[in-house]
Amino acid sequence: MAGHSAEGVRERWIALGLSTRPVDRVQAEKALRRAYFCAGLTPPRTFMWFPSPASALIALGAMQAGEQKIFVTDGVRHQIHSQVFLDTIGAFEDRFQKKVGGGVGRDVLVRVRDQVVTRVRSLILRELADQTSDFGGSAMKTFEIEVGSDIYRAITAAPRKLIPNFEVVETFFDLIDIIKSLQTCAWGWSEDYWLAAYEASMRECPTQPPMDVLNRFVSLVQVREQLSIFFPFGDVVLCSENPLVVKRDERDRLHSAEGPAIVYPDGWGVWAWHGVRVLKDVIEHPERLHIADIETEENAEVRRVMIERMGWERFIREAALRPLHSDDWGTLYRKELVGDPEPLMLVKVTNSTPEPDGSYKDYILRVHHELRPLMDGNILGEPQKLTALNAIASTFGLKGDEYKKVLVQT
Amino acid sequence: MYRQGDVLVWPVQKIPGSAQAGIRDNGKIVLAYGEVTGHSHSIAESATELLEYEGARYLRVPVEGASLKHEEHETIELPAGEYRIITQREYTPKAIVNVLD
Repeated sequence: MAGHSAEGVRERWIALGLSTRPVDRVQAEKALRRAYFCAGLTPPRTFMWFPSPASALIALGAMQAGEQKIFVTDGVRHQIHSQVFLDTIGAFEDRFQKKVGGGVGRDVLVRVRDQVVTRVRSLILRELADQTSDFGGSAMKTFEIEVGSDIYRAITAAPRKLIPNFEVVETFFDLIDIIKSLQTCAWGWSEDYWLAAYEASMRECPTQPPMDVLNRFVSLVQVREQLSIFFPFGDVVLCSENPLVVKRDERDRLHSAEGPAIVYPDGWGVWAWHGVRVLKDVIEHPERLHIADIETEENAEVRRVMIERMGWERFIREAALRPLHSDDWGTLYRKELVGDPEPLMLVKVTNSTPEPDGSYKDYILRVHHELRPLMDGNILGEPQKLTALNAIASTFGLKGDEYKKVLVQT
Repeated sequence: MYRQGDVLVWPVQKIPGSAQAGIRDNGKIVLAYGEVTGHSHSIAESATELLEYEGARYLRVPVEGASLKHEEHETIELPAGEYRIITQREYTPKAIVNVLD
C-alpha cells in the first residue's frame, strides 16, 4: 500500500464510496473469502447477489421468515461483524497504532466520513429505514411492484442445498418486523472512513504493523475496493451491486433536479434536493404537489423543499395565506381554517448562512395563533403581539425581547 | 445567546448540581440530528461536557472554548461558560413538537 500521499488515500476512498462501477463479482467473492480467512473464520460458500441494498434487505427478511432461521440469528450476525471487522481494527490499535491522531489520518477520517458516510450512505440507510417502517407507503409499494419479481428470482436462485428449509413468505407485509431488525447488519455503511484514516496514518509511520495485523487490515481494504454494501453471515454473504448513478451538487450533497440522485440497477433509489431526501414526486412532478401535502409534512426541511419546488408565490396563493406582519426577522402569515376556531399561523424565516449561489433558504414553521412561547413540558407561555420576531422567539420558548439578545446566528 | 439553525445555546447562571452526564455519539456531543440530511449540530472537543437534568440538556464549556459545527451552517465559537440547549419547536393543536429536519 505504499506510494500514495495522504491526499491520494483520501481521494481514493471517497471515489470508492461513491463508485458507480459495476462490481466484479469474482474478485469481490475472492476478497470476502480472504477477509474471513484472515480473521480466522471459515470462508463463506454462498454469495447471493442483489441489484440494490433494498432488495438484499428484503430477501434477507424473506429468508429469515423461513421456519428455521439458519444463518441470520443475532448471535451470528454480531460474531461475524465483530471477528471480521472490529477485531481487525482492535488488533491494529492494540499492536500497532493506538489512535488516529490529529495528523493526516484525522483529516482523512473527517473528509471521507463527510463525503461518503454523512452525505451519501446515511441517506441510503435512512431511506431504507423509512421505507421499511412505512410498508404501506407509496415508495416501497412502487418498488415492490417494479422489482418484486427480481427479488424473488434472486432468492430462489440461491443454492437450496446450502440453505435447507428455505422459504419465501407470501407478501412483503409479513416481513416488516424482520427487516426492521436487520437494517443494521449491513457491513460497509460507515466503516470506510476508519479504514481510510488508518491507511493514511500507516503511511506516516516509519514502521509497518506486524504481518498478521497488516494482512487482516489489507483484506478488509480489498473487500471495500470491490463492493460497498453487503450483509455478511456465517456461510452466506448477501451482496449489493453498486449504484448506477450518484449525483451531487457543488457542495457534494446528494442532489438531482431531474430524477433520483442515487439509483441502483433495479430502480430503487434516493431522490434528494441539495442533500434533503424527498419523495420521487417532489423532484419529478412538483406540479402534482398539493397544499395539503405540505401542510401535513412533519419535517421542516422536506416542507421547505416542497415549497421551493412548488414556488413560494404559488404556495402562498394556493394556501390562501394572509400576511399579517413583516420585519427583519421574517414574515407572519395567518390562514382561516374552515370549521376550526383556531386559525393556522405560520412564520417564514430565512437561514443566516447563504447557499453557494448567494441565495438563502426560507423555512416555514407553525406557531401558536397568539404567539405563545412553546415551552418545555408542552406548556404555552403568555400571548404576544403578532409580529414575526415574536413568532420566531416563540419557537424557542422565548419572548421577542429575550430572543433579540442572540449574539451570533448562523 | 447563540443560534445555529434550529438549535439555540442559551447562557445560564448555573447548571443544576444534580445534572447527569449525557451520552456522546462516537466521541462527539450531538445537539440535534437531521433525519433527512444526515447532518448534525455537534461539538467535538472532549473537554466540553454535556449534562442532562429533568429532560433539559446543558453544556459546560471550559476556558479553551468549543466549536459548534454543522455541515450547512457556519461554525459558532462558544466561549467558556454554562449553557442550556434549546431545540426549535413547532406548534400543533395536539402538542408542541421539536422541529424535525
